[in-house]
Amino acid sequence: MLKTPKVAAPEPSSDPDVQLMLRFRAGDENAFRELFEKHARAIVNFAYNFVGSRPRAEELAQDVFLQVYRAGPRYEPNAKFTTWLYRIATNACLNEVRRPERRYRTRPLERDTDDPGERGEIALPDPDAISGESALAGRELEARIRDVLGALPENQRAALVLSRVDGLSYRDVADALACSESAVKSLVFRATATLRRELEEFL
Amino acid sequence: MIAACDDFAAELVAYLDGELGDADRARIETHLGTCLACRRELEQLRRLRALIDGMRPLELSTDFADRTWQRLDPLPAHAPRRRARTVLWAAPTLAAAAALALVWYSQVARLGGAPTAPAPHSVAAAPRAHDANEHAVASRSEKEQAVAPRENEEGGAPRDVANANDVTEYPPDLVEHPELFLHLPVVRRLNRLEHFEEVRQYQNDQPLGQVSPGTAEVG
Ligand SMILES: [Zn+2]
Repeated sequence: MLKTPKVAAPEPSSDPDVQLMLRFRAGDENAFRELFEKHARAIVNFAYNFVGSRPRAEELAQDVFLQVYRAGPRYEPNAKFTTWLYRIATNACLNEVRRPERRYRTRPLERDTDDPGERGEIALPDPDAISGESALAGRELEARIRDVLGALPENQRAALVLSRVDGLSYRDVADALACSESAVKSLVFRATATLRRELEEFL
Repeated sequence: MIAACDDFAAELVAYLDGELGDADRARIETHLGTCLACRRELEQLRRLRALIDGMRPLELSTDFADRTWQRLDPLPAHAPRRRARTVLWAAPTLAAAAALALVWYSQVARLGGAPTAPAPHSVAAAPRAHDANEHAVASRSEKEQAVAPRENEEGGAPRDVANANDVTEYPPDLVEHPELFLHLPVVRRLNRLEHFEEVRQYQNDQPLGQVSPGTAEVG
């Protein structure tokens, strides 16, 4: 079924981020800063794809790095750093969207959209370089994708975002979600099928 | 797509993700070569992936890093622990030397000698004790630079480091030869005394440098 790795997974010790984490464990706070600067944007975006709100995404990403910071003294290099980091991030996001008072906010029609930064408009590298019409169409499409993403069951959303957006292998997604690779394959397939159906008009 | 193709449809996503083993990939490719419906399905999935990939990532808020450092700062992580260890390591040394100082000071006080408070920059110490304090201050300073860069603007931590090389008039090592303390000139003994109080204040996170000889008693 799924591919079997032809070569053994690289030793964690050969991962430069693991080396930084070990330096941090030894007390070098600059190593932590380096890790933060390298991964903060990816983690904020992962959380944003998950919860659909910039303030919440940034707060969640802070929570994630807070956990990394706290874990520093006890850190053991058992996995690639990013695998470990996304495991923390996934748990933080799943806990967040599973909080009863938060659940409704992941539903498409109730997503908060007042903040102009909410839907990512300010992420446009140069809005004037794109014609107003196509920029608007782009924003509408993106909002639609985020709505559909936000309506997916959490595990499907996590699996899809981790594999498609963050580029993790199914193996690493399985690690982050604490499930099997074949479960990940199924989650990604079902998420993709929903997106394909809901976004048919754009395909 | 015909019903027989359903099995393949479930594999197409993993196929595109490069997550199939050799045998499954070959099977899919063989089928794709003969089935127009599945080729169309694959093309749709490719477009869908392109839509998702086209989502623009957020740029971080400009103050995101600063806000994060603010949340990290109060943690009992490395620097405070290291600092505490350093000071503890120095404590017996300092206690022994301070006890001697106290004996000397009580003699001066009984004779009515009112010692003058030395300027903060003249504070010095026995080499080993000074090294310990310098290390403690330096590690705190490193932490503040790394995790809460703003705090340095308010001054504080690096203050004593500027005088770290001012060792020309240090007495011999008080740890090995505490009796030598009594041979120092009066003013320098007072300086030692104030230094011990500074270390004690530093352990208690009180502001440094506001020491009167009367507070120098080590409990
Ligand atoms: Zn077919």
